Amino acid sequence: MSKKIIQVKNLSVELSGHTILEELSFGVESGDFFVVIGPNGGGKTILVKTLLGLIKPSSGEIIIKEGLRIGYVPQFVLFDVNFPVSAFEVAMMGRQGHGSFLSGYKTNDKKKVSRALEDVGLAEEIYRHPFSDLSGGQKQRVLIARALVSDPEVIFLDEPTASIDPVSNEKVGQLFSKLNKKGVTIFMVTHDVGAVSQFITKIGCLNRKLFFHDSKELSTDMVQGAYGCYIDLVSHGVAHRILDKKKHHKDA
Amino acid sequence: MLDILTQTFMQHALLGGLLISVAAGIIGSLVVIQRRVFIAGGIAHSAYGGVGLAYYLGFPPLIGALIVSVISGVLMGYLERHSKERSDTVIGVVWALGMAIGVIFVDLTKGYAIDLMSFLFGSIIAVSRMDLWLMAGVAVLVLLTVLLLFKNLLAYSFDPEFSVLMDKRNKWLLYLTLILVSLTVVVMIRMVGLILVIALLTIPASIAEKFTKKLSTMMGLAILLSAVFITSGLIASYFLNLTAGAMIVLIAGLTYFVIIGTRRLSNN
Repeated sequence: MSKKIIQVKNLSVELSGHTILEELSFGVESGDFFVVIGPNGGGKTILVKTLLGLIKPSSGEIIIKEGLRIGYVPQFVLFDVNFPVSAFEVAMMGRQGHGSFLSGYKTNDKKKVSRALEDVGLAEEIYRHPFSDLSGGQKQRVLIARALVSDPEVIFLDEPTASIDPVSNEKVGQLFSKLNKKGVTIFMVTHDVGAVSQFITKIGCLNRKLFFHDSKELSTDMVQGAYGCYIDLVSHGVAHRILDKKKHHKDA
Repeated sequence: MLDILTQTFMQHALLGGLLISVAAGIIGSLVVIQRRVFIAGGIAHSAYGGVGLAYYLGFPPLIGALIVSVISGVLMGYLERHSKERSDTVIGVVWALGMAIGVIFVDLTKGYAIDLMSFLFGSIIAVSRMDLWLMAGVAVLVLLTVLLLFKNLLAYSFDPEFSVLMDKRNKWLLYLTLILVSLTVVVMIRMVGLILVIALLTIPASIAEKFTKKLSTMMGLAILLSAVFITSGLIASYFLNLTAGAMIVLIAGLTYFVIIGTRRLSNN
């Protein structure tokens, strides 16, 4: 019996007449650190939203293990900059659906949220700060904490390291690795694998079609297929650590 | 000065003002943070379709406005969620269609419908005892809903996709919010008229948002500001013999710009 928690077969998504995803097939196993890279506009966010059930596929199927607990970290840049809500209140939103619909949050919920905010490395004095006043890195960590408090078996991350500084980037990467080692499955789409490249267990390249060999090796044909150009990718610094390793092997 | 309080219509207007402030402050805050000001405008204007229909069929116009605005509110929510068209275009169409239907029904009604203007610009003389009960009912309904569902409404307003992912039932909050917006808009029409409803719904909430980053405080502050604007507007219109709805919105709008201006200056 395989530990497959998500199985995708021939998945296609069309939006307003355009094919965004075409015939994707892959599986996610429990414990994977699954990363999908690809150029902007290649369908990465749409893939995440489709897996979450927020977008309906036009064909194909997505089989998700029954009762799978899901966490989701969307791109924080999409949020209203004036929204009246504190960092703590945002993280608390991950506890919805755990208690009664009509009552407020319980002490237990609050404890869990405090612990998660501590885990993601946020100082206690900023819990009460307005979410809108936080830096990009801090916002990102609040959203990760929000995903963590829902006790997920798998976390979906959409560009978790985009528009945050390199130091936060590194910290966030280590946090994901720590979670993954605890048994949480990671499914991440990004155009920048720099901070997490050494933790990846499976990688695919997405640009409408998914180039995927069920391994952590990023081969040049996958990159060429998705980006259409190998040199361009390297010059942008995307995935260079993995690619460099391969090149050295060839050179030796 | 105090004889203003001995007039029954003024008593009704002032009490009505306080009652609609409760709904306007809370619902206005939700409309502002959910960026649904345009939908609220659509609901207010399509309510005129209900007014016209009620005149034609001969039942109370406020009931007509109530029914049609709830239907159009739910319809716009449905179209926003399911239509492939741009949602602001669809809302604009429902907005205009509602008004057109109202005008046509009024044309078809025999005899001159005398207080139709009061639905467009509001009339404090028009606030009846039944209106007051309706305003009180809406205020209680809005207050109860927000007390019971505060955490869900906050989460849904902030990030609808995430909140629905956490709890499927949250997807109904869109319709619940829009129904409450419709009810609030209809009781506000009595006071300021459907054309000026949007101003009174959004200005207090927008000012409140400048002073707090907590939704509950924002709602409370917006209620207070609505009450101040409506009460001062009513009193000013009484003494100056000017249209109350316009007076209220004038005071609210000027306050808004004064506050934005002074904050700008103090920031520089």
